[in-house]
Amino acid sequence: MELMPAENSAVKGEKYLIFTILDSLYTMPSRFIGEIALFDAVYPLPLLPDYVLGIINRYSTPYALIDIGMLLQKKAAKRAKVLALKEHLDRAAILIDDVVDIVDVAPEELIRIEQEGSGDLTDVIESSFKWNGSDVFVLDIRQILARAVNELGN
Amino acid sequence: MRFFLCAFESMYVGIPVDTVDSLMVYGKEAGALILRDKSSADIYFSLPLFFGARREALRHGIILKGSAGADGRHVLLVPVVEREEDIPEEEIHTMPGILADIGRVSFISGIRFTDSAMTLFIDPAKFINNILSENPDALQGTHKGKE
Repeated sequence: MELMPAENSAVKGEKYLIFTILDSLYTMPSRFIGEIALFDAVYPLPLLPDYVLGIINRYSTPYALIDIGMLLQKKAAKRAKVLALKEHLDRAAILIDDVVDIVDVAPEELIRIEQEGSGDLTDVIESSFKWNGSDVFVLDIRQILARAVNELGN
Repeated sequence: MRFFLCAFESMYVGIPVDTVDSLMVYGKEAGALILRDKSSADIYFSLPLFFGARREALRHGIILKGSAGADGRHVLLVPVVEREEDIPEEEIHTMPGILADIGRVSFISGIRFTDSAMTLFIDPAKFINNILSENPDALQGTHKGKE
């Protein structure tokens, strides 16, 4: 499923794709998302943190596969679908259970999440908003990638 | 660029031909990730054990160039060297950004997918530096001598 970037974000805020991981609601701006596909296979590599599962094949191009469930909840996510990021961010993808909705979110609806300290898990969640009475957590994908690079380098 | 393609359980590992001195028949299981042959001082590295593959017979050893000398030769042990192949550079992708240029996996110089098989291309010199720095006590194992 190809996702189009938000073209009219100035009017109603920004488009966010809401998805589930281990039954929790997460989201990120749809402009960061390249594609959603069914999980097929992952090729593990040695010496990676447990939330970097290895390499997946996206049209013959290697993408690193990240398990947000393992990163945030220390529990492996279901291997149901993969959400591939736009290539300009990085050739990386995350495991998700399923897509729930695409919504427009105005900046004033976003509730910033206070960082409790460097390296704390809250640093990969930048904000949240209410959707159908539930909290949806906005993943800071750049911070997740930076965190992986940091941990791999040590 | 020419590579020796070594078949593993679920992937291939490509070793640049120009880094290889010669191939040898090995024909045993590796008991450890790194073994030193006491008589020759050669050091053997088991690639399947490194990549977490199941224990299997290692039919071939790849003797690396520039590794002969008082410290012994460096030999990469693989299940089988299946073939030698010329692979165009444009078919080899770099590692994704979060995995590239990171010390621990920087020995992987590229990746290629064909049908459902993945080939990891490795830089043997970086691989050996990496594996020795990750396993500083590993050279205590001994090897019973070549067959």
